[in-house]
Amino acid sequence: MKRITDRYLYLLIRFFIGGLFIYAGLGKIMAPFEFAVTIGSYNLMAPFEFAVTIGSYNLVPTRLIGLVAATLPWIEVLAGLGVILGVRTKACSLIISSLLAVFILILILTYLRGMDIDCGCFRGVDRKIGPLVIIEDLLMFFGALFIYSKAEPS
Amino acid sequence: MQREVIVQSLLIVLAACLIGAVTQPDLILDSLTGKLALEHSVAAAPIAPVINLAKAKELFDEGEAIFLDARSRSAYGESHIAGALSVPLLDVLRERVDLAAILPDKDAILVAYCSGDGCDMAGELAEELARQGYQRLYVFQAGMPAWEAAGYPTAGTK
Repeated sequence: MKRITDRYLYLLIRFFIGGLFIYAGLGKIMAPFEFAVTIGSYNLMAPFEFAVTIGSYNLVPTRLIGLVAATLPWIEVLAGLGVILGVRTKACSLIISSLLAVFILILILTYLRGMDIDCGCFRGVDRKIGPLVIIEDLLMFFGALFIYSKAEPS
Repeated sequence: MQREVIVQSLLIVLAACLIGAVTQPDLILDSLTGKLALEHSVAAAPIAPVINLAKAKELFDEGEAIFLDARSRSAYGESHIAGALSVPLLDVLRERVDLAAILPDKDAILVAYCSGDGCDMAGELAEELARQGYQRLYVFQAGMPAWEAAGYPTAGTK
């Protein structure tokens, strides 16, 4: 009985997290420039206030934003599909948990820096960065680790 | 076995990157050539980071930042953040305000605000200030409603 419950829980979490990642990725694929602006708004290259000023707009980090905006959504979609379909589930859940670990770190740092910006996690859902978004990502992170622990290597 | 999983993960990421590169070549090229920053205002360091209420209060308490009220003078007269200067956006755009006179220090920390979410004046004021050479800019987007709701110091006739 416990094994059956475990199996359903495993399936449920796979569908939930895989679905969320596909949804998140597709939203960004449909509006790539919007997503690029969101990445810019995180101001990731200025952890020390005003270290990067207007004059350094054309520095390398800015030039890499487009690359991230074009590729990250596809990583989300492929990993989400893999987790749902059970294709390379272990590898896909590793990708998802790694992405979530990076997202959580960025969200915490951005929140601690007192920035009042939209999370940009899902298109069409305007949510400011805050403890709730961080907790949600943490829950998903543990979900992805659960999938990783249960998945059979393929 | 672990190594195999890592290799598989890297291959999936590589495949995703290739799909991204094939489907969005313009985005990548515009970004690499700097066009994205120029034409779409995409930058790793925005002109004026948008800060939340806690950060605005922190800057207020430190006493080094100058708060700029971008709303009309009448709105400012009724209520404004204690110590804030009235710098109505419209007056700035019509050059009725001599910014150099009221803000002589271009390195001053400036926090622009207006009447909260849905109000663009603070952001536009920050852009105008950046154009005029001010570099340490913040936009407190939640603005006056959030400040008043938190019961933080205000001044004015209201």
